[in-house]
Amino acid sequence: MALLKISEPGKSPMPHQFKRAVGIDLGTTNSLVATVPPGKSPHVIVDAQGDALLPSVVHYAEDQINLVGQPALDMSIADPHNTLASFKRWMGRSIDDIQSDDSYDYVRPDAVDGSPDASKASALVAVHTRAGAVTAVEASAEVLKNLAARAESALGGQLQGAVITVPAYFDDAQRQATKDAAMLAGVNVLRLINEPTAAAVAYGLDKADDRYIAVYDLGGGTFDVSILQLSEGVFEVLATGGNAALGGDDFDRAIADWVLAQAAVSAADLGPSAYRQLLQESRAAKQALSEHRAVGLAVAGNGVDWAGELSRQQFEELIDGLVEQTLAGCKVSLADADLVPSDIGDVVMVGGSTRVPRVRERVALLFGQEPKIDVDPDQVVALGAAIQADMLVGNNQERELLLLDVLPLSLGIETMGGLVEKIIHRNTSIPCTRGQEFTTYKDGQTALALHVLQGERERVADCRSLARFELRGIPAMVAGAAHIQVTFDVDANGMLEVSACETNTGVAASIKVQPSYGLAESQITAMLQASHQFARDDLEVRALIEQRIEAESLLDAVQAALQADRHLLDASEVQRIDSAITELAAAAKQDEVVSIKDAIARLGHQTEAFAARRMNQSIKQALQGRHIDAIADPVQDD
Amino acid sequence: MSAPIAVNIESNYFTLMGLPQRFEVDLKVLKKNSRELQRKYHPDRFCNATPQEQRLAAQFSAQINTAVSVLGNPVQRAMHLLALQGLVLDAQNYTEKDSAFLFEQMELRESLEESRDERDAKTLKALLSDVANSFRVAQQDFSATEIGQGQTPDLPLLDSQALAALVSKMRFFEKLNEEVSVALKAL
Repeated sequence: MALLKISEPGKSPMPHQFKRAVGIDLGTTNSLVATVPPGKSPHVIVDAQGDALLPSVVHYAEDQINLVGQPALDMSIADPHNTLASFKRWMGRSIDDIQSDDSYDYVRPDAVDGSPDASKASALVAVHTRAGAVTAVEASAEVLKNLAARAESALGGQLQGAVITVPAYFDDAQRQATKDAAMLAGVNVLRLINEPTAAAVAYGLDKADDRYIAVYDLGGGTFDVSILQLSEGVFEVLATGGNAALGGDDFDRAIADWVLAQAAVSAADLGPSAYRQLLQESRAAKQALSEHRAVGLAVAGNGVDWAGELSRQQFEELIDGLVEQTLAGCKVSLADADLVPSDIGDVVMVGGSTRVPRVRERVALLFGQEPKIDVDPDQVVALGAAIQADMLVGNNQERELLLLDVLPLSLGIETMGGLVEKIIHRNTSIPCTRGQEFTTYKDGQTALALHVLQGERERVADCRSLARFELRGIPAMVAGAAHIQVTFDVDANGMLEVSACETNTGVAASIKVQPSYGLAESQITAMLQASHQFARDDLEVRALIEQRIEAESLLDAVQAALQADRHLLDASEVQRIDSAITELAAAAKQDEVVSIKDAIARLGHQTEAFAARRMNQSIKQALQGRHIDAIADPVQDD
Repeated sequence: MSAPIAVNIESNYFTLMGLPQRFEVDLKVLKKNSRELQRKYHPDRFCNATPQEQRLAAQFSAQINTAVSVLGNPVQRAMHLLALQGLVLDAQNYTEKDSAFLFEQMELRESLEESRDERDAKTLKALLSDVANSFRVAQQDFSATEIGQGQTPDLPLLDSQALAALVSKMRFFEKLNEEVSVALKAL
């Protein structure tokens, strides 16, 4: 056996070995991937053309090869029915959501129920393409695959994992959809983090003193504002708001409309192709006006011929109404957080549209301070995610970044009369666990149905249905005699898991989860197998590589644990673990996925008690150590 | 299947959080000590550990968060102190017997409803300050008991009804305090 290296529990046994980890900003309009090279600052990874931004667009082409990014965007006009864009807006959303809510009118009118088994319980939105009905999860997986491939070729090997950012207001279904997309793409998710938090991390604000932070995010088609509270390194989202149909594209449209008015023509006179040309020119003019005081504009075609000049001042008058709307959104969120503008310690700008000087000016005026703009506003979220990813895989052991989050929306269960009883309230620190006891209603009842919802309102109809759980195998007893302890676990990503046990008999009830607006695990597996991108052989090769990586990291971790805490085991235990190690090391050299998997499970099983003893020892030492500190160094009141 | 192995977590939240076992707690120390433990045991610190260790860390991290929320809330903290003495209150089935307090409850509720309907901010503000004050007094009363002081009284001598009444009082004022705040905000 190789020489063992010593490390603390949870830390990498080989601190000098660089692990490939990335941060991914999976955006509505554009997506990016970033990384932190050893000893350097974080930077975005560009594609072969040198572009950092990957348009979040997927085209399902006739030759069954999916185009992603700019080539897909180029097809969006010629072949709109087989091209998907802005699909982030319908992540974790059902066809019913879209039909009952006007703000979803941007979803394509041909949206259908995309659940593979057509059961109403998992009615995810999908749209028809020549590749079949495609859900937002599958389209997002294409984008993630593209970014992962870009990162793998830049970093020279398979990724250890990725931190993916999501909007702060994403509920459990939307977060789960994002994780499902990563799973489909073969990307290991280290953590989902909130976009505004990632932006704050990119600015190093996690190291700052306690304060309130406003994150103003104006993208191409969406506006989000978040109010964060930083207290002792913990980011808490106090309020979020915005407008899902307001962005920099509206600035372009305002310029185009102005040109049309000057030329005294309508968009219809101009025709669609010339109008698109005008929009592109307007966009270029908008960007030029960030640097110049005036730009020339011209429109020609279909008998129209006009040329003129737009000054920065005129442009600002054109967009002031739109900018005003974003400021109104900021004020609403401030009020929601019970704050006034002067309470805000830092204002962070995110999104390409925050490059417009007028936007910065007005934001500065509202908050009474200059907003932060030094980090590229298109990249800032991905860069923050990369810093977190680098920390999580253990590359950077110096920075003490720890992102503690809170649950964005309350979790509850349906009770009699269509009401929701909250089990875990919003803003509860996560991870967290809550137990709730239930009993049976009828004699001999052996099953129980639970409906889990997310939201702040009191009625079931006003909250979002997350999942229905069916508990089976409850021992038959008289009504009210069974004590069924249901445990709700929310992990560090804000995602829920439910388990149940009858406390009198200790019988664990089995739980069948039916996600309300998501994919069941079997559906994901089916999608993986059906994926056009993976030939069967590829899939097997990938599975083998994944199992080997898992075997390697388990071996590293167990050997480090043994080196540190062998004294917690007796001779026979050591021997059993050693032989499981030898077995796994041997299996990992062979090409049998199943035997590696089995050997991983056996080593895991053999080290279960060891892990618990190590943890107990560590906690005991931590508590005792603190007790001694407390005596030696009494904590001051201030 | 063997039973799932769990860490032997300290079930006394005061010990866990390095605080003396009594009703008065220093919230700053509570926060500081919980941050210190999270810095060590948050699941993010265990990305490279074995799956078993990851699961145990997540469990312990959740336990720390629970301890903070229990000790940070006066009603829950009082109930935890009682539970540590073996007194588990059945909050749902507690019936108030103090008729004077029952009458006071009714009057306060009526006052809230009236001023809410009339959008009377001045009365609501006065009510809020009254309720907050009563909440404080109820907490002081509990704190003054043997259990509130962190002593370990003889169980048979404990007047569990009186303790339950105190907790119930705290619970009432806590809830009303929140309702008045919500009503004020809605104006």
